[in-house]
Amino acid sequence: MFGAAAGWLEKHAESVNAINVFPVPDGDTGTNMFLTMRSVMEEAQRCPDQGAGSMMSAMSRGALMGARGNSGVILSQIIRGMSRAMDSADAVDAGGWVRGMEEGSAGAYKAVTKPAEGTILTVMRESADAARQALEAGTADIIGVLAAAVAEAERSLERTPTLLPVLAEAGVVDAGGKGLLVLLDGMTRHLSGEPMEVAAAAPEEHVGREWLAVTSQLHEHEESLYGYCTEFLIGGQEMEPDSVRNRMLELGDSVLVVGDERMVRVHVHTDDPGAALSHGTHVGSLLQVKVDNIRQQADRFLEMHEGQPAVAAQPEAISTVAVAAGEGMATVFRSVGCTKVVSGGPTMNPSTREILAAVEACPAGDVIVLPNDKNIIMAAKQGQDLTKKRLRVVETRSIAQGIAALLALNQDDDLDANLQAMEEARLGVRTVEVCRAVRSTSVRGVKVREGQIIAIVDDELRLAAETAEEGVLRALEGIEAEGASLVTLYYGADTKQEEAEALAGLLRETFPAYEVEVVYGGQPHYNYIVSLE
Amino acid sequence: MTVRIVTDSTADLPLQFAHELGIAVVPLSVIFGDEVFREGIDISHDLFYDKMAHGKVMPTTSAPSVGEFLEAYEPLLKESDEIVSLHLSSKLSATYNNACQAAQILADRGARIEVIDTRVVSLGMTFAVLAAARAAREGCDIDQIRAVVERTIGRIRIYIMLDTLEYLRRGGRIGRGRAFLGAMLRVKPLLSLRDGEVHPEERVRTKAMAMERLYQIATSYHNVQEVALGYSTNPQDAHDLKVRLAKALPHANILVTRVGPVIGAHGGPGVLGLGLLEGEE
Repeated sequence: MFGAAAGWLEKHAESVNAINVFPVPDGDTGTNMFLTMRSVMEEAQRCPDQGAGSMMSAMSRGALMGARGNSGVILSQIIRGMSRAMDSADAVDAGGWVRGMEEGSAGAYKAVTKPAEGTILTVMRESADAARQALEAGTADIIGVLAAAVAEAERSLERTPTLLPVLAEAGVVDAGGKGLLVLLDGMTRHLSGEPMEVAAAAPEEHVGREWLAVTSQLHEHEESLYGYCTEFLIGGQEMEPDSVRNRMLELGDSVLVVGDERMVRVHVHTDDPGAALSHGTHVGSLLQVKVDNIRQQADRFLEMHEGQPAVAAQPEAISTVAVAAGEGMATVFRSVGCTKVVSGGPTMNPSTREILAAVEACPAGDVIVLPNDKNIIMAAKQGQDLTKKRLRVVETRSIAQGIAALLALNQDDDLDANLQAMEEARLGVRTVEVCRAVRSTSVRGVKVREGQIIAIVDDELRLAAETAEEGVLRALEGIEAEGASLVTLYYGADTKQEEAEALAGLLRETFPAYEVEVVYGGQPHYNYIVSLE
Repeated sequence: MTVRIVTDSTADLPLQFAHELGIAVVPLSVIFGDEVFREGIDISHDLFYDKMAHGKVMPTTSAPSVGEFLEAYEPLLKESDEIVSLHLSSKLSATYNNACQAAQILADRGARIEVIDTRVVSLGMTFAVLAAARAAREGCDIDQIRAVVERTIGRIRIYIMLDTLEYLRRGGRIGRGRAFLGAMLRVKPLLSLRDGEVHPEERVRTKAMAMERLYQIATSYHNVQEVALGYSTNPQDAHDLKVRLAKALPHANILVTRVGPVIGAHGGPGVLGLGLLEGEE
């Protein structure tokens, strides 16, 4: 049933992504929730005991480890709550399901420091309430209570803009809430045997974008045990994507199968690409084939990363793990003593599992994690209960805050003193991020066209501009920073050094009080990440 | 008979104190290529910093030899048979060792020379040397002077802002400050001396922030008696900090000096050192 829900979400991931409010290229909610669900299903498949209780607890673990992005973390807490309610049951009845939803709702609220209404939390709570009412009104079967939950989830989702003004302004409903609705709907359809076709096929370019987003996440984040990345497109008639998916799961991991009876797209990491392709020829005809040797790529990647300057190779009482995107950024973090850098950032939120793997690889028992993005903080915090190490998170929301916090680390002081010093250092930095808007929208009065340059100051959309340079300049002009003395420009992968140097010259003229430093960050999407301190 | 006090040139002791209190100063040397200059004798501070900034060769330094210590001690032993000799941290220089060897040689001839490792340098050492000289003038015996010096050393704090770690690294005196090497960002290292070695304290991004931190550090101690500020090439930095500290610490004496060539050769340009002497409990 959860498997069907995950598949249903997979089909809807792009429509969930499309309603993100913020116009920045960030961790798409639909993709994050789907990847979290995928980890859930993998754990479920590995579970030898088919009883509902043990199955739920395996899924709960998969959710916790695979949680990605804040919506993924909240979803994982929902599943964890459900699992607790169904602890010892062999099968779930309507009453058990309602208790599960209630526990899930309670768990989700607890996962968030300041729960906001008009989000996935509200949708979960109200649909659980509706399930409870249906049960008490005499509905005895699980399909009945689920249907009541779905109906309420739909209404609840419609109400989210009335609770959260940013949604109303952008004219959308909450993306996380929509993801939850899709999951519940998928379960109901599966149980009641309703068709699970996507009514209106998404436009081709969207499918392509979604596909790329998801597969690039797979490659970025998952260490595959298998040697070949195999992708192909099958054309045919009366094909069954689910049975293709099952066959691929036998052959390898990182499996992604989407499509309908006439067209199926497959992605799998396997040691036997021939077997995968030959399955394709059994169900239809192969239209496109792409096979990459990923082990060779991985070896090259490792080679590239060895021989790093052994600056941080000193005994340390406290290790640090930072999340950063771009090789330049990773090098900057390592150069100021960061123990491990997890690849990731706004566009690719690492899972709790990936962050934990870096934490476990650190030499010290005390580890401070710097998420460097608001959408990664929860996944990092979720790791605290899943390791024997003392894992603490300094809630850095940008690369600039992360660097400042890292510089404040003092190995002579204890963990608590450092956490305080790093928190203070993080708050002493203002961040400007400049990138291209990925959608047209309006946030707090700032209207943005897709493709226009936007400047975000401390996570708030501040202005739209025609060029990245103009964006940086105007954003800095708008910041009142008494006593600030240094601007650091981290320029991105798609920005030329000469452009960054020219901008630095302009800034020095405009703001004689600031020193200006230019550093290659190599981050994707963002032309500039700027710190003012 | 008064106990005589000896130190070395890295105490950066203002000349007037040396004269007034009768302190003998043994020079270390800076070397440019094959030219050797005894600090405070053969080369002025201005000339040294000019050569460091514009010369082709980087300066190195050398400790006084055992023979030079013998030459310094022997005339003093005609007036007194007891000497207290205070030197910079033995972890940073061979000076202390060479002084010990000279003292050993003279001990065989009946002299008593107490050689003390101050575990600090420059501005911090000044406090210890002055304490020793004042105790000697008040007529303390050699054991009392040693006790006074040890108590003083325990109350000395030294913080150093550097423009770059490069000079320390090249001179091999970086100690645990190595942890701060290699940053791809502009960083002002704040260091301290702990147990006679360079110790990394903090990294801040600009000089303004480093100066602010020095101010905060100085005012975070409750009972500061003496403050010494030492600069290598930027007197204005020392002056600015002095003005602020004079307001915040009205009861403390504040001394500003220029650090000499030997310390300058290892710190580089743009050094600002802060020495603090805490009052006794």
